[in-house]
Amino acid sequence: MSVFPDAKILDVDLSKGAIDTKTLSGEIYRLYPGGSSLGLYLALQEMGAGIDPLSPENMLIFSVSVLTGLPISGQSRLTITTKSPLTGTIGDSQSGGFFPAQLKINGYDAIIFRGKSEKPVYLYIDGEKVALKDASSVWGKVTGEAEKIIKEELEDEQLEIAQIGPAGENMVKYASIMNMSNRANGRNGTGAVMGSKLLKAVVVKKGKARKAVDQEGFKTLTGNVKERITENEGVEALGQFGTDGELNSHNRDGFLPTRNFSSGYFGDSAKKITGTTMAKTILKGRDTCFSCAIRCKRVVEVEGKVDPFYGGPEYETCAAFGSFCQTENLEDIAVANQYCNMYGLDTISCGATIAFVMECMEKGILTKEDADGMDITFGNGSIYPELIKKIALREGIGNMMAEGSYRMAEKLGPEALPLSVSVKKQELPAHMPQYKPAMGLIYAVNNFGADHQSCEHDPFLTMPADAKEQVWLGMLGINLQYDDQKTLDDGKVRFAIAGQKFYSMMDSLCLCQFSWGPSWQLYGPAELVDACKYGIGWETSVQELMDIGERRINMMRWFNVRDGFSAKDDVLPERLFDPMPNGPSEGHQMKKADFEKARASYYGFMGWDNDGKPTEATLRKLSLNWLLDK
Amino acid sequence: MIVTMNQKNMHIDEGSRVIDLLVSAGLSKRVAVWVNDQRLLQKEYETRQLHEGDRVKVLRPLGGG
Ligand code: SF4
Repeated sequence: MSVFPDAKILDVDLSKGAIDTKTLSGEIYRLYPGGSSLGLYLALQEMGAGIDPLSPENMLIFSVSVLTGLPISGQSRLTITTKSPLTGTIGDSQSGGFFPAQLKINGYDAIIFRGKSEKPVYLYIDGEKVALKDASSVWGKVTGEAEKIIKEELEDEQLEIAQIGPAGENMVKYASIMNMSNRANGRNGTGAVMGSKLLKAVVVKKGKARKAVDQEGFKTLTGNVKERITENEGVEALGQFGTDGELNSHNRDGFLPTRNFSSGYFGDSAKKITGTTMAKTILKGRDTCFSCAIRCKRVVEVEGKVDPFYGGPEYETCAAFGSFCQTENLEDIAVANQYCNMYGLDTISCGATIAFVMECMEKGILTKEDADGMDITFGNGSIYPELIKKIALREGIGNMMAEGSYRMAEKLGPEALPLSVSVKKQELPAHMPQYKPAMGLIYAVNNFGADHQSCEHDPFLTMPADAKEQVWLGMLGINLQYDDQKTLDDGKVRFAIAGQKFYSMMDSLCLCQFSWGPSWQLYGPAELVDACKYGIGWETSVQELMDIGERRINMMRWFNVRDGFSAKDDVLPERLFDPMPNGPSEGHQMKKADFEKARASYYGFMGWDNDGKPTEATLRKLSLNWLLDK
Repeated sequence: MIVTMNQKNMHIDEGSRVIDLLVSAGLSKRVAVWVNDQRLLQKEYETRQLHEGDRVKVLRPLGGG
């Protein structure tokens, strides 16, 4: 018998309306201890190559981890694993909130959804009581309304609900899965897969928090959390000003993506949409996730316009609907955030696709007539509610935009293609590779398209050797110092890989990457080893944790290789290699040759061939030999 | 006395340390600092005295989110 707990998995066949429960032995679970590691392990057992992401053959997997639901900050994250309709690669997306902890508290590590229901349904879970229920009364409803109706129908307020909005129902390629109506599994269009299965929601009954197996030991991590936060300037500022707190700092350095990534400088306008301004104006309060002391989530209100029920915008949202679109009106951004949360859309891809259309209009590739008479021009944030609704409902120009900027550009022709700022058809988040080139490398090679939470960010390597950030990075074997964050060399590739493995492990253990991490965060690598021991009695090491992360990256890569993905897809948009045109970063240029050299080093260091495919030895080293038959 | 910080002149009191300059610029210790091209350890911010004409470079790391 393994010392590691078994995983309990719900297997829901929507075509048959059948629900089964499975157990995965602790021995195997230890190699894939949750999140997308577990999701990938389950998907790769059954899913072959060539599956249409929106067909019943695609599996949609909700997963949490061995640590989820413990009473400590940053452990309540839900991962969705599926084949992405946006990228065509493996799909992967995380969200926080209370739903993830409650799923685990109900006894489940993962839920597999397969097939397609005949009519709209939702899954209800109350411990051993699990049932598919008719969702016809909530199909077509926005998230807030659907949540209200489900609670009324079940006569129970003590529920957590993860659901799709109308965008998911209409299979918009970047539809999200929402919980609390304001926490999003945003990226990769996982909501469209859920919609294709006619699955509206997953509803879990709330229960009591889990207890750590060694409560005294656990208290050494949680008992002094207030002091930990006060002593950690980055984390404290995150709580105070949210993720948007640093927007203006990115602008000050000349690297805030502006006008569809054609510039890094938004001038004085950036101050109007940064987190400190939000705190002084529309912020109504702070919110949190299950058991988290940081409380970084925003709750905003604009009377008659923005309902605090739908939370508030993150940095990514403020940039996507703000500087990407040259919109400096914070209220317009807050409205856009609310509409995305109501209709269930990823704010990054949605804002970026709007910025793409704005540039197409400016360049005459699209006309006002094509845009149903709407004035979709840079700076015009007043169009957001109408346009977001059109996208979600696939009406008029919204139908084309629902495919994302890359597919839309393919339709519009060769002039439009360079204007889609995307990797593997997924729009870029708001961190510029020119400023953070190690992260830019990860944007390119990441297995599910550009992602800013799949590695550590370059600037921490400029910190002095005795700074906390560097001490923690040293635990991953990264002892490097740079005078400038913008360098890209072999050292940065090693940093990118170490960070990627660590973040990949965090996406396996379903940890929030602000609470846990390898540099500035609240808890570091050593505390994580302790949390595993005190929390569930798992005696682990940084080495075992890094291996978990590396295993996940290789499983993802293998999933994609089978579908024909290779080095040709590990690229960055050409626009990013142009010199920066204005502002404080004017003249700075990321050289394509440096990027290509770094990518070749990355493949070599990862044990992959020149085309980005893991070698047999690499898979065997990671106990992934079974993949060779898949 | 005058020192430069990221190429801008800064007026500070005689005997000021690096930490005093940082505080006067609204910054904390969570930055990288070079004085006359020499990189400092974080613990030196409290002790290193500045002199007229010193060239100070400060980098503030910006993370994710
Ligand atoms: S840091 Fe923010 S996002 Fe992370 S768990 Fe805490 S409240 Fe949630």
